[in-house]
Amino acid sequence: MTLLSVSGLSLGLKHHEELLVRDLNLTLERGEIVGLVGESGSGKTMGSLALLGLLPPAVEVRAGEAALDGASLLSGSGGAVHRRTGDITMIFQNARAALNPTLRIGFQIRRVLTAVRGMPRREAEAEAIRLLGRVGIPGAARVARAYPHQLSGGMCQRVVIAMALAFQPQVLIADEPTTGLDVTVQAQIFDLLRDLVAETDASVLFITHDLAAVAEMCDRVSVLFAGQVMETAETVELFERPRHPYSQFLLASLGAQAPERADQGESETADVGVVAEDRGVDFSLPGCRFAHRCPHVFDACNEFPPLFPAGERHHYSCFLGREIPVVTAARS
Amino acid sequence: MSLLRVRDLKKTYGSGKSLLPAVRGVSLDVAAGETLALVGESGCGKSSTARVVVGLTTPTDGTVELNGRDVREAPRDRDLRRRIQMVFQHPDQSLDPRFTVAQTLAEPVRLLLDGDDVAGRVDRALRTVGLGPEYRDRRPRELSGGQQQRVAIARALICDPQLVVLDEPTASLDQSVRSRVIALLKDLQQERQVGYLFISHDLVTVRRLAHRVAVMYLGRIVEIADTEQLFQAPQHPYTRALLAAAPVPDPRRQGSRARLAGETPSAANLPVGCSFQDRCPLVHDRCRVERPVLALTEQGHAAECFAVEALASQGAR
Amino acid sequence: MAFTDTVRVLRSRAPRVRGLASPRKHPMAAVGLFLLLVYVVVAIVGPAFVGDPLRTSAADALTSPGATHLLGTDRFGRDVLARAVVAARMDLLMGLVIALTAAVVGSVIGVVAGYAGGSVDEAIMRVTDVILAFPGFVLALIIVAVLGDGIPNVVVAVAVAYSPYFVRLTRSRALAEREREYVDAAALSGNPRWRIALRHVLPNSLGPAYTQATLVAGWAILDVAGLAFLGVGIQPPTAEWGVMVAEGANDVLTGAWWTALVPGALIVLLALAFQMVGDDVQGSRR
Repeated sequence: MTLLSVSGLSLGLKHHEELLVRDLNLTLERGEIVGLVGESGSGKTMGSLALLGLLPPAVEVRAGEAALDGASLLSGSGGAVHRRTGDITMIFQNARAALNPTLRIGFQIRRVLTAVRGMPRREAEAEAIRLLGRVGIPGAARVARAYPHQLSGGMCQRVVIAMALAFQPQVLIADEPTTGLDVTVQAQIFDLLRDLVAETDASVLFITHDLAAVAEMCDRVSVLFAGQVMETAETVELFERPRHPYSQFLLASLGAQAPERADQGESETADVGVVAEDRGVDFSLPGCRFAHRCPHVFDACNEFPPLFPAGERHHYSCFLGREIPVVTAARS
Repeated sequence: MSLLRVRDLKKTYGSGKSLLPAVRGVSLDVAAGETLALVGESGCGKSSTARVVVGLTTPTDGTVELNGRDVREAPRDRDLRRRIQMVFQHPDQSLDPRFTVAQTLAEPVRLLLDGDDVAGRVDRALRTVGLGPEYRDRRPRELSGGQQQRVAIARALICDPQLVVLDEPTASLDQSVRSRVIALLKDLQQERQVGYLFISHDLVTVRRLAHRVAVMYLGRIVEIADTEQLFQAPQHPYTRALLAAAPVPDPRRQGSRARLAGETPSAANLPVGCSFQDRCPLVHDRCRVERPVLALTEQGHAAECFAVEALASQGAR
Repeated sequence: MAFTDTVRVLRSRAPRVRGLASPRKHPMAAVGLFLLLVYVVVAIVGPAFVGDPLRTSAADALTSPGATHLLGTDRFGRDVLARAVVAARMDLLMGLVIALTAAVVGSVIGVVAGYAGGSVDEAIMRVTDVILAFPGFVLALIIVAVLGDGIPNVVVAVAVAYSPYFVRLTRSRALAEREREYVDAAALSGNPRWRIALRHVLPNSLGPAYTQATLVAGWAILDVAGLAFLGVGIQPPTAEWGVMVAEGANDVLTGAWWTALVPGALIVLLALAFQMVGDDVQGSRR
């Protein structure tokens, strides 16, 4: 049952014509983890901020709709309302920066509980400690009395997740939640998120640049480049049968690092040289935003490509249709 | 005879009551044309090791020698200085924002090489990293991350060093740019037989570039082996946990994996005995009292762990 | 946050005008710059068009502004306009020279302190603290009293009073810059420490100094005029705005407002012009 649906969302800078994000389509169902993957500057964070009503003042919604459980997130202060009632919430990249450095951890969680769930103070205190324990923090009672600067990055991120849990959200947007964290801590955080999804049936929009993380975490994934959705598919499908040249390119740079291809004899640079290096996208051009780098570009690409179907729940934004030879990712 | 010899390197920061032993006795060798990767998470001491090796800081104890010459002389010895260079993690910060690309590249030539044929060398260096002469007059802010890093690589190589220390050179680059830079580094190594000490936390890149890998934890090397050996048959429990933690880029192969609990403790409060004892699945009493030493298990494969040692001696019987 | 990358990337693609921004976006700076331009032009070519600032005439004393003397005459019969224009050259030049001197000397010392650190830094900071303990004007007063009158002494005195600002500004930038990787890279390129400080850290630490220098120029003019008003540093009959205000102060009582007000207004307006430019640039540097 579709919980979150985003259709045709376009965002732009005020007083400028160009669109930062163009025609973003996304659906999220209950208990699903959907990935939004793209490199830096692809607009993935911007799109999710729009859903929460947290766009920076310079950015505005130009077109499209977004609805949570049928209720619009974009009209008026729609997103803000849902954010306050906790239906949709977000965990950010820099967990430490998301916490108020002058307030104790326990107090910060308690505030959410009393404000959003109307809990009386005593109960909120106990619940805060329980939540800290639930996210795997040892010595929760002690941590509740600590300040953010006394905790490590990994612990701060767990605290932020605990705060998000306090909202009892239907949709959780996780924006690169493990940036800057060690890989062993990242693994713990990923496990935690998956457990929580299984337990609460919440849905997660997982924003990342790491395809491996997508492989581990996400049921479905959308690939973003320069604010344009290039491909959407179930994760397994995307890795096995990527259709869009950009997806193929991303997967190839992943796969090119597989050991079996290490001893090619020929120069390594030739391997990933198919796609032109990014010289910056001209956002004012109407056509496909990958055109200037695409090895298969042709005339039709001057128009904005619609979503072509490629299978069950699999769409991609490219005029090539079935003419692209399908690249199988290197078997690792 | 190895190019780089590091023996029992120690580096401690701070003084008096607050001491932080970042590096606690590291020994390693790098040969010409070979890449040794130093892998580990935050706080393991790999960056401190890199900085001492390249001569930016002096060691608290131990020796670092390039071709038998003490690296501590590098600030004073031009010839030594040019033979060992470094590429840094943040390309946008490792280039002086006010210098053009040409100025950045010309500087080491003028200071370390008597400055003949500066323009020629600069152009050749740019070409080596795949940048044309039109980049000469650009400033760092006009370049993308990948281009900046290539300039940094060009700068490191312009004086024909024998060893280059690379401190997480691709960590701040996008996925797609990363592959290109690694491919470039590999080609350059083959061409020039330059040795690399490659510091990284990204196992995928390490597997692609390194011939041998040393895993660091809390200031010591806990395991060292040939790359494929390490990835296919890791011995030390920490190495195993590290490899298990890395996300597998294949959605079909996601099994449940053993997870390492807790976080890396602070180097300022190390326990007696093995520093991994609080998180180790194989811990027993001896580990809390004695500190294990690197034990050779197979040709060139060593792990610092009593459990591994025991297995090795069993196998030898 | 990551989204700022996207916004920044887009903004940087907008055509950037190097140097002056469009007047519409910075109205204050535009007005300030225009005023400065007028002052500079007057200072450079003005003296050629006006009469002799030193010629006295008892008969013409204290005539109000009119046809022959556009801004009237003072009690010695000297043309106020002529004196004011000639004074412009001196005051403007002094303001700029003082600002430049304080900026250069202060910045270099600041970078040395920030980059060297340790006891060098401590020593420099304590000296700076001592200088800052005195109100700037009072300090300048004391220094001129010690050194004696004369333009060079005034310049030195006021510059010394303002140097600490620059020392602190560049020191804190230098402290941050020296931790950056390009400083390490410079060491690896064969730079000895002094060369790193001079060629790499100093140029990158000057950012805040530029705006500060603009503001200081304005304040310096106020100080010079203030000192002259008190009879310190620059003496009559030299044509200098502060001197003119001092000379004309009593005339106000007798109704001759132009002798003091004209130079006074010119001082304030020039200082204001510098302030407008400095403030606006500072605000847009974020």
